[in-house]
Amino acid sequence: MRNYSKITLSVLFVASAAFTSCSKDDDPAPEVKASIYTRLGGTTMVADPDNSGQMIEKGRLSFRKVVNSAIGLIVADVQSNASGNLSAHFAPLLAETGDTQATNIAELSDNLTDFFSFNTGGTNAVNTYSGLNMVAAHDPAQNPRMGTKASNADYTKFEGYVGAAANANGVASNTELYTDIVAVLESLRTPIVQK
Amino acid sequence: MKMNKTIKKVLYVVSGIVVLFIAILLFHIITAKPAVYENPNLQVSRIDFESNIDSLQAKQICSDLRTIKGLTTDSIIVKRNVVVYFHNNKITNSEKVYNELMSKRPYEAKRYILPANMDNKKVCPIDQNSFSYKASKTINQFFN
Repeated sequence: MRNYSKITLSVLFVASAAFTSCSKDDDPAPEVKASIYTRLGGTTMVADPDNSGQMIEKGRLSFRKVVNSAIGLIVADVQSNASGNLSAHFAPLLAETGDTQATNIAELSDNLTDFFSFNTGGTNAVNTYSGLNMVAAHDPAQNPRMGTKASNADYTKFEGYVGAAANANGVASNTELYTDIVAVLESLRTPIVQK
Repeated sequence: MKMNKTIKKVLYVVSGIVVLFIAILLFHIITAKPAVYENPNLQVSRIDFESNIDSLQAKQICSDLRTIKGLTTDSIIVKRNVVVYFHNNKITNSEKVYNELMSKRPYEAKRYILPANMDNKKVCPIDQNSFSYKASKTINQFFN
């Protein structure tokens, strides 16, 4: 009887070990999702279409295209004395600043490209964001280039512009990449909305 | 005599502090690197058409704009009656682009010029005509 019990216990032990092992083999380790930056092209070097002879990370170039398109869409809506078109925030981009210094848009485009690239996985030095933190950058008292404080409605509108810009640059609204980009923008709402 | 010695000491200390402050200021000016931007001469400009632009016209306008030297590869935005494009302001400017576009076809449009009341914020909050700005820029350029 004792022998039977020992044999039964041994069988149970070996079986449980085998089943546990099988169970581990059957469940593949959850795949780590590639960063947004990687999915936009990552660190693959490509020729910069606007700077002849220079190379640029493909992920950074994708972000730059989206950022510039978003700015262009906002500028298209700028109207004097009209409410809700972000003109107070972005109209100064249209001012010519001569040909010897960085323009308003060059600075904004670079800062936004750095910020989005770095915070979505593009952590190479080329994407280092050296601007103000999000609260200071959107507070006219701390950043004289911020025309006025942003409201929730302003920010929702801005997200819409970025979404349309992403669409225009090949990121469809029904993709996971688009949803992830919107999630990043949403995570910035609290520090940016100050009105 | 004692008073004179004290005054001398105070003067030495004060001038030492002043020299130190000047040295720190010079160190900061010398070591400050000018900001480097990927496209420092990127400019955005806009042309407002008299009526809304349909898809055929949009194609035509974009194709005409693409033949003008100095435009970047960024998307040309066509929205309602407005066209927004990006260009390198070392190569061209909004007036030249507008004139060239108008010379290609009899478009009914006008160059968008920012109203003075909206042009209220500049890149640099410092008065770029001031002596202090020009002096620090000269020193900085000398060392960079």
